[in-house]
Amino acid sequence: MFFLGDTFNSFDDVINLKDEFSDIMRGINIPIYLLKGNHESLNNKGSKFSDISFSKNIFVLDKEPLGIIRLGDTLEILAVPYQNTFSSTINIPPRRENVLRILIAHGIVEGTMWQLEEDETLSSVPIDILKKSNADLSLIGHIHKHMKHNIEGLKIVYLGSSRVCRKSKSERGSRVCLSLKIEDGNIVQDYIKLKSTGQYEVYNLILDDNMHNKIKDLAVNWSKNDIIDINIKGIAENENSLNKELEGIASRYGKYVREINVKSKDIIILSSEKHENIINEFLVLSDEYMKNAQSDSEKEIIEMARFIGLEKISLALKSKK
Amino acid sequence: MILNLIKFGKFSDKSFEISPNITIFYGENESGKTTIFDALMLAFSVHDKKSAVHIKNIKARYGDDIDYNIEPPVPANIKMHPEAYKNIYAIRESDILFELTDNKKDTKDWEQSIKMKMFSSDIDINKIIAEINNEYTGRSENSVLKRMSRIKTEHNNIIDVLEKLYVVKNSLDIKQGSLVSKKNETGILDKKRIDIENLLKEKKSEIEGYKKHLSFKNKENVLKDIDIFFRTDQRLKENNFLNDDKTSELYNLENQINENENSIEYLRGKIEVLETDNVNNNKSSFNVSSLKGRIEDSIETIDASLSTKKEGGSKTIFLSIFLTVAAISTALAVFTKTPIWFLAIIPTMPLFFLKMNKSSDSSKNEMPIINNIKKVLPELEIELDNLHALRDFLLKELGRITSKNTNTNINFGEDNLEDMEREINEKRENNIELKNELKSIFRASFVSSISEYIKKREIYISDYKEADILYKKIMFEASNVGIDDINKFYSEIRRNIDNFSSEGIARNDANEVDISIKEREYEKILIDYNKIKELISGYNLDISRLEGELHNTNNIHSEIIDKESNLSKVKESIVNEEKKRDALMLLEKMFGDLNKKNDEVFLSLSKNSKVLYSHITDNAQGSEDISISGFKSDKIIVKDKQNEERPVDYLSSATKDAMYLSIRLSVLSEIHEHGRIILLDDPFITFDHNRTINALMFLKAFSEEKNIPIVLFTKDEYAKNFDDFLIHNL
Repeated sequence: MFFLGDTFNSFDDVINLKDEFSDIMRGINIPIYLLKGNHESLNNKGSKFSDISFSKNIFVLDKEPLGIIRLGDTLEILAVPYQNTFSSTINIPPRRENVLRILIAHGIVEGTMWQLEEDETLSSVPIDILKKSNADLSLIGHIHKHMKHNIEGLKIVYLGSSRVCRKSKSERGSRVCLSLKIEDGNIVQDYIKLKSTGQYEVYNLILDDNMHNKIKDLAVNWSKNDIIDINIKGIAENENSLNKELEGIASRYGKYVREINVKSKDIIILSSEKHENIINEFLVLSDEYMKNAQSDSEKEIIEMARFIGLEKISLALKSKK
Repeated sequence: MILNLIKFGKFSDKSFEISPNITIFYGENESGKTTIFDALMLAFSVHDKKSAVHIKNIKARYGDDIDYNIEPPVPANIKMHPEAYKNIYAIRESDILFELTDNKKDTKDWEQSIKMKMFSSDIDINKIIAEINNEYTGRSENSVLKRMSRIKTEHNNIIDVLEKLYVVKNSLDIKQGSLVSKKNETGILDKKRIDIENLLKEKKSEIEGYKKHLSFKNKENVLKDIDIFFRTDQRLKENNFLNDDKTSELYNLENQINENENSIEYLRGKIEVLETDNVNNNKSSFNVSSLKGRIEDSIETIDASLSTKKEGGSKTIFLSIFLTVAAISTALAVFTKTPIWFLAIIPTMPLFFLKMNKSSDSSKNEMPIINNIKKVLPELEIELDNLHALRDFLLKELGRITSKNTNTNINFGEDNLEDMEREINEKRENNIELKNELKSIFRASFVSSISEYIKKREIYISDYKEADILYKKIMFEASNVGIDDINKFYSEIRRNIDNFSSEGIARNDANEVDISIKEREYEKILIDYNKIKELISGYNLDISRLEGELHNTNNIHSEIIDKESNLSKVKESIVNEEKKRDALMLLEKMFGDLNKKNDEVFLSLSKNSKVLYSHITDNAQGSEDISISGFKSDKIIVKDKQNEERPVDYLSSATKDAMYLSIRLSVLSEIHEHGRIILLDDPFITFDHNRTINALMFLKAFSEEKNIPIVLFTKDEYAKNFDDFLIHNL
């Protein structure tokens, strides 16, 4: 089993949790490989990750610029741990004949165009290493979102985080681990969804009579470790009753997820105008458009138009008042 | 439909049928038209909190105990706010001149109500459309167009930066290759350098060993010198009495003694002659004069011989002159390359021969002279072999002869002898003193003769000079190590030598030449070493430059990822802006759709009002051709046949009333809900007869066509002429 880095949050955690981690891994009783991530270098004060003594079945991969693990006669793993700066002269051994090669690395690979988030540490992996590695598959740790890329024929997979760490776009989507098999000289990938790890999701809903049904439908797919953000937009008649309604949603579904946040910052409070024909007619019209939409992208545009339209009508009604 | 007025104003238990088409209530003033109007209004109005004030106002005219109903009852869903009903369905004489906007109370409400019923809302959708359009095409800084333009510029800038970064990144490969090769070459050279360095160390150590040996030896030599100095110095100290030169003093004493001795010999000779003469008077038969003459000649010969000895110095001068002339002439001959200069030597040649005619040994030279003198003076029986002694002897003899000769002429008595004896004694005593003095000096100098003294002093002087030279030499060495005291220097040297010994440095035969050879070997190796070092230094410079460049580009991956992240964000922004633009465009279309509905309402309204107007004004051809064209600042805008738009207020009263009536009816035709009735209170007051007839005819047709019951209240008698109408005469 390979962990692709950031298994621990900091070097302090490595020290504090190594025994507990070792106990759990000892029970698994298979070789466990821990690739060094940037988090394992945090506050390390010059100590090496590989100096830490784990259970016997745990092997730390922190050899710079890379280490090689040969698994039988058919597979070799090139392990590129997190490095602040990469040696300018990385010598990658040539690939042996009839041996499959997988590169594992920690960081963000050039060319995958990952959008850095505010609290995300920049940790890079030169794509040249991937190119020179001549690997059949490159598996990368560090960013929290599971993604696949194909750059110039290089198969690059970000495995993503196995747990939800923060409420950001990189946490959205399901969590996976990758099971690899070698069949007929090929690497067969099988992604296993890790539902128990939870995931982060954001929903944008319109405050209308149908909103509760929509939430009910969505909630079917939620699990207890999920973090759910619901952004509600639209026009409400009364702020107090709106807040009560939103609180009601939070308390009703809060027990089924790790955290639920119902946000109403995009709601415009208009006491009587809610029943203005213009709003109803506009919503009816946008529903018609939605019904006729051919694609998700079209639906997205209609949804946006609907939000902006409601906003415009609300403002016009407010200014008229 | 039946209106039952059980108790309402002037009516009690009175019922009025309302036709599904036209119903006319005819009567003079105060006949009860307004009471029935109000009763119908109340029957079609909502009675709730909102309408309470208005209901109360109507009821106030008739009292709280009014009782009325309508059959069949009016369904709740078609009931309206009394003001709204009044303004839409109930057209009173005084209200016929309504404007959609005026200062009348509640006008705005019904205006909105109309708009809300007729259109989607009373908000200006065109304004919203204009806003939306401006938002994605406008020139304002916040428009999608401008934002897109800014983002695209940023996008292009990032791409430019990224392309440069990619170029740098691609060049890294070449640099890395170069770095690897340089490092390999440097590795090989460095190995070589280390070998040579070891060799150099070996040589250096050998040389240093040699030098140490030499230094050891030198130090031992210095130590020997110091030992010699100390010994000599000790000797000098012991012979310190030799420091003052007593040679002259000794010679003086010796001369004085010799002179005294000579004088004594002379006097003794004289005395001897006198005593002999006294015994053997006139016994002397030899010729004194001849003897005296020969003795004097012999003394002269001796003196001449002794002076010839001194001429040796002159010969040396001659030889010096000869040699000087020879050297100068040789130098000139060589310098001028003219051998003739050698001829200059010729005149000095005799001087050279003078030198060549060496004087024989003095003792050997003295013997012929002594022998000759012996032959000349046989009677003196000379047995001396020294010219000086001979001269003294001859002087003594001369004294004797002279005394003898004198005695022959002068009588001398006992006194003369005594004087001479006394003089001899004086001389002797003097000599004793002088000899004592001499002996005292000899004793003090630990010598027994002058020559010994001179020899001893020469040794002393030589020691002194040697000690002085040694001291200067030693102190020069000492000053090199910053020491100014010979004893300290001695201790230092001793310590050094002890150290050398403790270091196990053995003496060997190394000398300066060996060291020089070794040093030359060392220099040769050093040249190779420096060449390699220079090469390595060059490579290291290249490596350092490459590493510097690569180090500077080490963060290039991070930089690229950072820029790629920015690019991705910008791209997403572009997509979002495009989505927003599409959403705005769609929204514009959606609002357009809503507006289209409004347009359709307007179109229909305009069309209806036009038709109605034509009917009311009996202008089938539509000569005036005035139609509603829209609202502007909440005023009804009409369009004439020239398509010129103007507010309805600018029309004549009759035209305006006709217009309003037609608009009102056309509005009603749009928003009417079945079950409601239209109430017209003297609507044609400004119309002339024909127009009134036309209007009534049109209302009949309108009522039938739209299935809207119309109730007309009038005091004009012409109304009674229409048989088709249900007429109530009040």
